[in-house]
Amino acid sequence: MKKLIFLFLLGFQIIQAQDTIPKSVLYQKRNEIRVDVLSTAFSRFNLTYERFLNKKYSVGLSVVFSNNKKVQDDFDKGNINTFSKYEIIPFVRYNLSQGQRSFYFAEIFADLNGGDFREIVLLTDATNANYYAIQKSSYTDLGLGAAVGYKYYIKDQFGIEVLVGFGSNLFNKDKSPDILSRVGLGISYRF
Amino acid sequence: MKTIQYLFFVAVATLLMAADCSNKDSEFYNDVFVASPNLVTLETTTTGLQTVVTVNATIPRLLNVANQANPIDLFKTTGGATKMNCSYVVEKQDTEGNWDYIEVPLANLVITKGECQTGSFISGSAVYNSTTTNYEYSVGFQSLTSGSYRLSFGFNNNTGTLVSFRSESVNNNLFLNLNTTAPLLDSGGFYPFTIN
Repeated sequence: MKKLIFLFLLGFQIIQAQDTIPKSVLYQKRNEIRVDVLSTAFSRFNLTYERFLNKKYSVGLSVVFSNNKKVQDDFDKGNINTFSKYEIIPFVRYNLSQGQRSFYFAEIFADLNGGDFREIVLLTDATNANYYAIQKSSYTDLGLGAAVGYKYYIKDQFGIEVLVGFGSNLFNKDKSPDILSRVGLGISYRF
Repeated sequence: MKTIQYLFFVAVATLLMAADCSNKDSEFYNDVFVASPNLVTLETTTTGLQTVVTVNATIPRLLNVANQANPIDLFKTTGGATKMNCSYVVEKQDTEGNWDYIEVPLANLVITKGECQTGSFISGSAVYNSTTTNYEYSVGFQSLTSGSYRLSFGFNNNTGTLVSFRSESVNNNLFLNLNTTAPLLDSGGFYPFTIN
């Protein structure tokens, strides 16, 4: 039901959009690559390619790899029970503003993600004694979510982007994280 | 147009707030909990003018616990932890009838099994004996001045009648939390005794 409301609002927005945007040199530059500096600060490598289809729509793909020692330590100590190692995030964006040099946007995304999961299990050994043990396994899941953000271009070439969003995994929530966060501060190059 | 945008942001925010919360919080911190009754005994012995109050604990490595058909192997569960720790306090009643914590000097302790440290409370460690395959503790205290005393284990738990042990686990192995009872504790969780 929530997804239907979301799609309805997005569809309504598309219908109401008006093509009053003035010409910009950015129209000629339809490709962008972006690095998320916020993720990098937390030892997560986050690289994005975005393709601008027209004045309102763009599509893209983010690839995220995590190598955060503190998260790994927390996982080993049992402070967290999932350790997300990678995410592959295709997305579709809609420009909510009239301009091209600075604009708000809304995004829906899918998130193919995987990593390690740990749980405490009760086992029985060969002598028929029970014991508790930490059992680690891998997980893979697919989630859907939405985000909103703001983008600003300097000299029609270099972009700064703020992005905030969340999603939910769908198929393997016994092991995968329930919530997928999509938060970033990106620096991009458009060409 | 602006109104539609605001509505869109509100809709997205609502969806985000309505997102599911995690259901996996129960397994944080590497802790497992078991319960088994009557693993601690308390005794008061008087020889001549000397009275000794002793706390004893014998915790089998293979421990029968509630709701499990097989015994739990504590040593294996904790990755070979050699100590199970607990704490207790001793209070003395003053002339106005109030109970005051007292510090038992190390010289007044009679350590037969296990390890012990004193301060505002007594921290005891039942040490694993590989021969008997039990975690063992037997520590008494003596040479207290005359008066009314009481001993209790409620220092580290909310239920005064329980005695709580926690394994001294290392290297990210599981911590085992064992709740047991001591038969001579009263309904308030106290073991009262008098030194003449």
